[in-house]
Amino acid sequence: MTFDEREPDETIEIEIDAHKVVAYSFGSGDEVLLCLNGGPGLPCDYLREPHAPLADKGYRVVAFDQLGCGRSDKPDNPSLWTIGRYVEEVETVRQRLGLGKVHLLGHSWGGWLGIEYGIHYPDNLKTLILENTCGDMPHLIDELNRLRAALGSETAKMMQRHEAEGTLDHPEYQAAITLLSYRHVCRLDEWPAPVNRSLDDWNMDVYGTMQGPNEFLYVGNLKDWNRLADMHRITAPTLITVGMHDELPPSCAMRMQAALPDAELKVFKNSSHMPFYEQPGEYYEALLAFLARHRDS
Amino acid sequence: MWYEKEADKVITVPVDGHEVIAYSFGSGEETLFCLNGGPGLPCDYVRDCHSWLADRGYRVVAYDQLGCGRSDRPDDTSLWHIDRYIHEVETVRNTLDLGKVHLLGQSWGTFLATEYVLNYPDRIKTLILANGAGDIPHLVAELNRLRAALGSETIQMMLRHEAEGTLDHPEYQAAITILNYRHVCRLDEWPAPVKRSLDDWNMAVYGTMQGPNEFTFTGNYKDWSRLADMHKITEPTLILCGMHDELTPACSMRMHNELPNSQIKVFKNSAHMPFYEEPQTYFPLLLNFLDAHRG
Repeated sequence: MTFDEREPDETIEIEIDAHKVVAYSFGSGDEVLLCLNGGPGLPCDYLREPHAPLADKGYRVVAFDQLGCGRSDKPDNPSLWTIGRYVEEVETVRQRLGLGKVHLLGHSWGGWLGIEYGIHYPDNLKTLILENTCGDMPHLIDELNRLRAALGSETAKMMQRHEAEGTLDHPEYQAAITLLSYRHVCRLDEWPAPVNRSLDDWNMDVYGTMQGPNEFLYVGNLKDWNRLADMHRITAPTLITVGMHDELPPSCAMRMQAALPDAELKVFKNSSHMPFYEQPGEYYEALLAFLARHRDS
Repeated sequence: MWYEKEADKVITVPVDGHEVIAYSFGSGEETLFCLNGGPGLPCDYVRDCHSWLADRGYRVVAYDQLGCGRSDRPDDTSLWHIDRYIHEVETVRNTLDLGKVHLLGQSWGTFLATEYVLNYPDRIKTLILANGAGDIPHLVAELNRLRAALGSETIQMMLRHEAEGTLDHPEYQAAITILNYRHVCRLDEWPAPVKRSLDDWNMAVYGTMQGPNEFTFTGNYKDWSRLADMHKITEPTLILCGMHDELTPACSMRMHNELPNSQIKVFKNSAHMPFYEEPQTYFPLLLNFLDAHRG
């Protein structure tokens, strides 16, 4: 199986808080895979495309451009960019599309959103799939500092100096981010078209408000978020996936597994943050096997 | 301190059936003759920070080496060899009638100056070896140490791209960018003469003699070493380098150990361009040395 950039069977516009959000639906039936992509601030393309082909395997696959992203409205109102509001947006999409109980797949920031949603609405989940994500941001920040430190002490000093002075556009700082991105975000020499499409249309207002200026610096309103202590409320079977070289590293995945009552964990050895592109064969095998074990019928 | 001056004279010099362009500032018998780095770079970045020494009683001469800047750029890689370039230095010195000079080589210009002085003795009053080395195999070992400071995964990545010839990959270029701002010039904004030189780099010359970038020596002088002969250079020599220099203080120390009449200065806040990174320290030091050795 591989991504084929297929057209959605339905494109649905949903009104949320007087704004328009656009959802994409592939296939049909009661086994629904609802995808929450990362970012925040990214169009759903990069996650939607590799999962749409699961429509051929008996699943209805739904993804949507979160408010502020892609074809959805992009209101100029930073008070909208909170995880609490996005949880309600997920619930609204689920209800409006009549999805019932879903297999909820959250990738990266979508994993934080999936965890927060699962804690608020545990009964709406058949299963939870937490991909390349974490449950404890302060721990993640420690881990990111470890990854940065692997560029050498002089590089780490240089990065901190530019962060302190606000000169993140300096070529040497951007060079360090480039090195880390090809090491810990996507290890492919050429990044797939849906990834580039999503990245090229990044709403940096959403990202900056919630996360920060780049993948390796957390200063937004999520920086202290930690839900490990509440994750025991999520009793649905959970699949945790992570790349060995992931920017959200295996230690983050391990902590989530320990906090969840019914979780299994898979590490992809040759992947970083995007195993669905970096190791698609192994990825689809793990995901489809998990879903097949937890179908209603 | 330094400022960009118009040349008092621009001279065309015939060399091996081609023409090179030399720039002369000021007048008199005390000539600072500048050999810039690269190879393949126009002389702007060395010329434009030293030309103001014309205001201090020196004639300053720089020239665009063959293949560079306003000089001819023949498409003949057999020309790109240190033995031909030393003949070019001698031709420029003779044509401009410079007599005995204070010869300043920077970076590749130090390899050239060393080779020139060994082949053409008694042409210099003093020698200034700025940001140089006398032993490229030792330099390559030092460069590997600087690369290693980026971490083992970065080294693996660089070696892989070098092996596969994919040096234009963004992650490889990112590593080079970090090294450039660390070991080539530590200023946040690089000075205009530096950018002018770098933007007009003849990569055919550079690739033939040195390699694809500052941290990969694969060209025809990769095995060059003249340490064993440097004892023959008896003129007063000033060795200069930055503490963070890509051509490291260890390279300068080896030259200092071999030269019978040398002094050495390491600029603590500089990499490869102390004349731009620490001009307030660099130029008084250079002038003191020159003033002490006027003819």
